[in-house]
Amino acid sequence: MGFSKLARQFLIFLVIASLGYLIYGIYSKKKQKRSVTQRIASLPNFVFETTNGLKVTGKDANGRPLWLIFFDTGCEYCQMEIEQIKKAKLSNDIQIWLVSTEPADTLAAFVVRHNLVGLQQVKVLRDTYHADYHIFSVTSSPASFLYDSHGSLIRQYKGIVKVQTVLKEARD
Amino acid sequence: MTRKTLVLFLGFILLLAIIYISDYLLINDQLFFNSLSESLSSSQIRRLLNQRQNFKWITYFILPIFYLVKYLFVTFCLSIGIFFVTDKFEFYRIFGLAVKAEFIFLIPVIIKLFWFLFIKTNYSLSDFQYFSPLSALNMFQPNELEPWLLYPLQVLNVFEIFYWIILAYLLSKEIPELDLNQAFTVVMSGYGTGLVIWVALVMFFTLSYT
Repeated sequence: MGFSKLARQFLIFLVIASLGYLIYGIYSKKKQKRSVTQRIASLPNFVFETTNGLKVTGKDANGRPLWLIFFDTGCEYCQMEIEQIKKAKLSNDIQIWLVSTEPADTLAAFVVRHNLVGLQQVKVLRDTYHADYHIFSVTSSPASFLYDSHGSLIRQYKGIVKVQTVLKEARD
Repeated sequence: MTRKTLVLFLGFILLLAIIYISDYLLINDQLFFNSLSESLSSSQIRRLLNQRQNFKWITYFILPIFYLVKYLFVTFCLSIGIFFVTDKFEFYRIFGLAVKAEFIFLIPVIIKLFWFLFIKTNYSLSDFQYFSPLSALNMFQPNELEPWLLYPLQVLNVFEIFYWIILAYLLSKEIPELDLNQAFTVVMSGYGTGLVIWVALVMFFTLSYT
């Protein structure tokens, strides 16, 4: 078999293999997205931890709207979002859970640095089991999910969002 | 440097200049304020704009590199197509025609510039991002589409068809062994296949990260 024929066969194989891989990848990603949409349509089962190690689950939302924000302490947009939350006039009608996969001591230092201790409606929690990726399929920070008092998803936000917009949607 | 190379180089500089001018005239601070005011406070937008200003010089380097990579990719795909049809591998002769054919894409850039400068003067960042003249995307509302569908619909446009025709015409001129029909076969099998793989790759990554 000549080099030319071999090269052609190899190129055809390469094209078919690459396209096959990509088409399968697109199909499975679509399927995965559909299952994530179904899974998070109502508040899913998860376990987070406070910086003191206490367990927190969806049941602790206590029938109030919940704004679940996945963040990272080093992310500038996350810090902007948190600054907005601090400045907003929050009523007791909503609770905000700031969730990160980072170690408890990093989160505890963040709480102190950003003066979040006195905020009744805000909890900073640790996502030990990576629910951000495995349950909510979060790939970048900040990403947030707004649930109503019955635990139904109102809306999900990718990136930073104005607090007033979220509060309005929670009220509506 | 031969006269032909000089003309190509000047054409390339012109292409970059029009893109830079278009961005300079159309993307301003007010546009960011209008588009981001739903998400950020004005002081935060100001902070982002300052950061953007600091990193703006990077875009001046990225754009020529992007075009160079595109030319190389098109040349490579066409070379493979030529190899399938003539059993010969051409690369250097093809590079010049890949650069020449690209000038067709100056037309949508100029249309975009005129559209937002004189017709739709009140626009948002997403209007600007999704504006794609004579493309399949115009048949849909971009905001209602899933993000992974935007790119393939943008690629499916009238200028892309002209690009294929120009590539085939230039190929038949550059490689005398190829008549126009064979040149078109080269473009479809080489560049066409490469484009399909590229679009599938973009769709895959968009689905993974949005």
